[in-house]
Amino acid sequence: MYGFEAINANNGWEISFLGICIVFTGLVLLSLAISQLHKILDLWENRDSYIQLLKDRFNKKNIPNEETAPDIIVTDSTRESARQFNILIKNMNEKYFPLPKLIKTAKSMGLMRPHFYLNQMLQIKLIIPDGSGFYYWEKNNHKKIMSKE
Amino acid sequence: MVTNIEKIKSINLFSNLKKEDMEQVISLMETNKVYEGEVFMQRGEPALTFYVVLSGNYMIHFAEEQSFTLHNQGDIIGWSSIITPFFNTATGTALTDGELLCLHGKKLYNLLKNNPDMHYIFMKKINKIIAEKMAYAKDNEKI
Repeated sequence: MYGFEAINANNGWEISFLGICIVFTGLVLLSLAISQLHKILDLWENRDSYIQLLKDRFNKKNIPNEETAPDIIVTDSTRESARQFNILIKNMNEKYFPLPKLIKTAKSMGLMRPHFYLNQMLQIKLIIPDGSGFYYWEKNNHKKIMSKE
Repeated sequence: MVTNIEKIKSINLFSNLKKEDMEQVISLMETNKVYEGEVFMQRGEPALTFYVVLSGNYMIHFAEEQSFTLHNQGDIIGWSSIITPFFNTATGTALTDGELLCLHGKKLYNLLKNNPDMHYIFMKKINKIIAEKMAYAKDNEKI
């Protein structure tokens, strides 16, 4: 028995196909490994940083930086400032306003310690960043803070 | 003059520096107190100092009146001091009294220039901090 007959009789086609699959799978895996080689080298070169990062994550240390400001206690003077800032912002007539303009307006209207109280408004989330460098007044928080009087 | 070395080492920006690199960076540092309403950095002026927040709250504002605020220890201000053309692109104002770690920009730039490993670690950290800030800003986008 020779030729195609012998191939058919001894599962030659299946074996050939399997061989092709094995070789091509190997080539694909090899090309994937080569394409990702830079990541593997980066991992090796910066292993100390990655180990540190893993340790930090494991210890849940490294996520946010320590807040430098203590929790703000809403006092009567904070509520009074909130009232004044609310009026100023309404008069500015801009839904999304710039902070420097707000400080300038507060100064011109004679508000006491505009920087300090502006920071308080930010901390108690009455003034909130819009994500593009401007800010808006959070009416719901204002109501909540005023209702606690 | 730097008073609390351990506090500085705990700041994210410096946490992965080698001991000898850390010593070099510390030699460029001094801590400065800033006061409520003080403008400590002016847009358009030469960027001479790289600041790291130790305490206090700050507003950084640009020509178009856009601004962001910083409230956390380890936040960075004035990275124009280590990136050409070395001019401040924003104005920095202290919202409350606070303390800033000040690094001489030119000396820091030269130190980083002559130490590629440290430069890489430092810039990677700065990129990470900026990316976190941008992600935070995105999280707070208009509703």
